[in-house]
Amino acid sequence: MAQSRQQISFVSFGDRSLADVLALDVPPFTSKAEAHRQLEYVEGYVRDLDCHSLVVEDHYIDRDHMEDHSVFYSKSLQPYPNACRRVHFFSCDSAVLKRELKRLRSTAPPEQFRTESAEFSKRFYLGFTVIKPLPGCPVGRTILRCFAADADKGYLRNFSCACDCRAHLLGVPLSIRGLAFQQQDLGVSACATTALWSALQRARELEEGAAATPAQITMRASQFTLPFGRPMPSEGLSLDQMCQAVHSLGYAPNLYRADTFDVSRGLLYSAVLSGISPVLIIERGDLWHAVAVAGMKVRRPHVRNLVYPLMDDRAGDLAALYIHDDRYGPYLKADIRRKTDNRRKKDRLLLEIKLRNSSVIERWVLSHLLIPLHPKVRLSFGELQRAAIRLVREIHAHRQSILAARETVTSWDCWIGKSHSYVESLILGENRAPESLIATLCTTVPFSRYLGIVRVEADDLDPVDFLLDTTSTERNLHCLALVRPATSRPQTRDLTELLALRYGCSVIG
Amino acid sequence: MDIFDSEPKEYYMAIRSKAARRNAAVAAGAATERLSDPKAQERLTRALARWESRTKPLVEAVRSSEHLTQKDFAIRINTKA
Repeated sequence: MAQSRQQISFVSFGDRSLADVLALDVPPFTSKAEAHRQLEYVEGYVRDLDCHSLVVEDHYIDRDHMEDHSVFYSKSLQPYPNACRRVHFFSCDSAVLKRELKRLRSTAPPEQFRTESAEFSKRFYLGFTVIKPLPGCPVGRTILRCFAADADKGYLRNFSCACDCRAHLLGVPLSIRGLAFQQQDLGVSACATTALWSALQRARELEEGAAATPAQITMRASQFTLPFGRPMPSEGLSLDQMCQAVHSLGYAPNLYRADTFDVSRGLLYSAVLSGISPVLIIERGDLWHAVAVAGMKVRRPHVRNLVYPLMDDRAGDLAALYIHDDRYGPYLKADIRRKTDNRRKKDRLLLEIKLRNSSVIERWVLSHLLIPLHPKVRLSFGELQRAAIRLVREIHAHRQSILAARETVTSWDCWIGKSHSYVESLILGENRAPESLIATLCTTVPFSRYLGIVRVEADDLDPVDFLLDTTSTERNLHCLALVRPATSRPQTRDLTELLALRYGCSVIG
Repeated sequence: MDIFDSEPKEYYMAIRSKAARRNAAVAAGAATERLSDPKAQERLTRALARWESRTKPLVEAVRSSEHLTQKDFAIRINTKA
């Protein structure tokens, strides 16, 4: 039996198309545009990131493809190989790249090697894409660097749903932050499977859960019910099947119908702010599609969005989402619009997807949101929203009746995060707290692993964080503490003390 | 039309009459009324009831997004590339 051979090639980016560099065939019954659409998207994306060179690994074992091959492709008449190719993208040219890799391999001691490899990655590494030996759907696991945080004037990008990933090339560890993407192959996966696969990559990073390949997701989804016939080749999944798949992998599928614009936007904003990638079910006519959210674009500074007089939901800053759409590619921008639905007398959330290098705009209506949460988090995003609304109305009621203060617009933000991440944000984040506050918080308040955080602010109230115990339920919701890093505004002290009394918790700060 | 557009403008304006007198007292340095004062309790209860009824549609809108039926679960998601 012939031994597998490895070959590493350094190629300048831009001289030829990726498809030509990789010598990809187009299968019969498929056009080049259809077969290589995602590959061309990836090429365009890395070009925008200023890619100058690529490195092709000829023999790469990808776990996801290996599983798909084992379950499906190994049983085909066509002898598909089980190995893939992997292409790395760099923003330096090939000569610099070779020199740097050689220098890093000569670096000792180990700490310096790791530090310099990390710096090299930060400076030059743009990510990788796995090329499967499937001519009609070659784009496998792809992790590319996200866009920079600074967007157009007045906007900021937030990619909390991205993961820290590692790759190794010629002995050098490379690090990249992004959310994994791959195209559907219509064998083991359709759009629902690949969207779940992407979203669960992030869920797995938060809480070490089972890794799931597309084949495993489809099999778990089809374990108990087959509403559309055969599981593979995949004919698509129902919401029920998607929930089953998420549940079988150890996560709780929080499912919401996107009935109204404000609620849908609030749930999306909270989920992405919490660093959880929701799966969006979107509809257009009689088409239903699933995409995973990788990040969002928000207005900065905050623009007031009154969902009710004197009540300002900061989710109103959400302007766009960055989605992984397996029909096109990763980090596709979807602008958020309000769509008036006269029949239902409710406004729905519309996603406007402008395709890259095209004047075509696709308009999809958000139908459902599926948010995979760890089962430790019993407080859902819907319950957190309701808790936030109740908190804000309590603030208004106390301000008006006890303090006799002037009515002021009060804004809120809510998200779920790990307790240690919250404490870190007090040390390193925008609303830095004094060291003494952090010490008091950590030594006097017992934390649940995940906190529900509601941050409220008004002209007369400094930003105050209500920390909710996510192991409690809505009926017996437990407030762990009120954290007030600053007390410069007139009603902060009085309001926080009154509310701490009301919720039976201590005020920290 | 947003479901929250129906409230009259009065809710935007500052409270008048008795509350204005209380404001003046507070501004003059009078002590903040404490929760133990029965009258303050009563005012708080009424204010909470008022805010609860006003924000009920908001809370219900969030709740209704969680009410799923068989029709939701039967959707087939299979758009192809």
